[in-house]
Amino acid sequence: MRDFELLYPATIAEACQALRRHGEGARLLAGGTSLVQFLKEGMYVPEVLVALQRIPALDAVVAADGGLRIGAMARLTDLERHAALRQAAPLLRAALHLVGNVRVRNVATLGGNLCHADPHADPPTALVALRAEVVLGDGAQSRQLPVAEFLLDYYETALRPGELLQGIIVPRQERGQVSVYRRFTAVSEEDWPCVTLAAVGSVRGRAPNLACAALRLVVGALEPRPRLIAGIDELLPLEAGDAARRETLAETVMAQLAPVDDLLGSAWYKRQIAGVLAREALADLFQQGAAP
Amino acid sequence: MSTAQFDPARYKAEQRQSWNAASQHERDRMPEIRLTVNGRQERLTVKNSTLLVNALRDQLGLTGAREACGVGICGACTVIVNRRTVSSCLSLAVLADGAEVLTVEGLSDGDRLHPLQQAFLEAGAFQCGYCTPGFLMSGVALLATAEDPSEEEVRHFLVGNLCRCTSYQEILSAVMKMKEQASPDWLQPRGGLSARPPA
Repeated sequence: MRDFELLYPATIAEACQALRRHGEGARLLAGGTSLVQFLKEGMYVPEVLVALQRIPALDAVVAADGGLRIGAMARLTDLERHAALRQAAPLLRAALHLVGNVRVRNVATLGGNLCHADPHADPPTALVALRAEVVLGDGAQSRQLPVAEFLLDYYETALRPGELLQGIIVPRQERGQVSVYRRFTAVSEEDWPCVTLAAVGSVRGRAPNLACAALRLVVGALEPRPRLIAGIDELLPLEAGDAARRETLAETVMAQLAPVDDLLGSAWYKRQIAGVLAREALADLFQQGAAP
Repeated sequence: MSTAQFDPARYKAEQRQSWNAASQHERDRMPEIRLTVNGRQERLTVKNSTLLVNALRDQLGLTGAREACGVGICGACTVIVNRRTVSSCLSLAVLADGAEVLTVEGLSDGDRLHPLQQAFLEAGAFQCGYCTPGFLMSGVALLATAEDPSEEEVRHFLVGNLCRCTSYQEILSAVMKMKEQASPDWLQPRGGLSARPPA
């Protein structure tokens, strides 16, 4: 690994200034679990790392208009254990719990996870399903973008030069809203997922006459960015007993995906797995909806 | 065919030599960090790019943590920094400035093994032993912080440690067996070894 200069700005404005001064030669350092791998492999060869560790309160989690605002430097283990987050966004909590392994989660941050923009990462799939937004700042001004628009491509985000991600705004899951996060690893448990799927919906009625409404399904890991499945509304409300329509839903999911062949599976295989996850997720939503 | 045998003393001497080969100018620019390792205050001069695993091994002679996969999956480099397990092969040493670090060498009190080490021994929770320091550090961290973890929780916690000899059942049973005995002070160093290369 080539050596680099390390800066510790004390404020967001200083950090953005350092980014502007060093341009392409600078990279932000959050938890470092992904960045250090890229440094070791020589995929990034920065002259300067701008460390965010000493900017106060950048890891704070606070209540914000109907949801939570999570500081970019909040570490995943801390978020997993955060009582307010567990209550407000159980879907995000479920996804965080499956990221890498506990050593990674002890160090990795939610902001870093999003900015690294690896399509296999778990949190983005859940965040898109929850309609979460990112807060981007350049030290003077800030702007807000849906996570779905922040992630552009493999390791590419909508961050402009001299801008950094300050926080993530996660809307509160409403009462009666049920959710499920599923991932399938094709090789072994600790490996990158082959397919991820997040579902949020509301289930009405009493078992066995349950119906699912307002369903939002997002599939991750298959394409450069999480895919929000379109055309679901036409299938709603979806009755639990309507096997044919449940199958149509799974087919709708599979038809919209454009996976590629790689070590985690062939495109055909991944599409089938996405269908399986969609069927399982729906069953899970109904089960949660049936619980008193 | 002869196989060159690994000689720890020679390895350390070589590391020392490469360290001395760094120019004075280079060393003047390197940050000095202060940290507590296994209860002992240490001052180290490192590069910004020095990994914690290498600082521990090459400068302090603590070779229990080893870099194997290099990407945070296998857990062979697991150490505890400020009461949390981390992959020391993905940690920049310079960020450990001011930290409290516990390595496998700090588990025993010098004469007696740590209770979890003893449990591993009794359960036969290893074959080649390469992964053992990592599993011990993960096990200690889990048992010291989780209250009465279920078998599923223990499995989930240990998912990031690989044993290629597949001693998983024995490792799991050793950790589960120590649930009752564990306490938060397991994260405190107990003296143990603090090996150091010759000056």
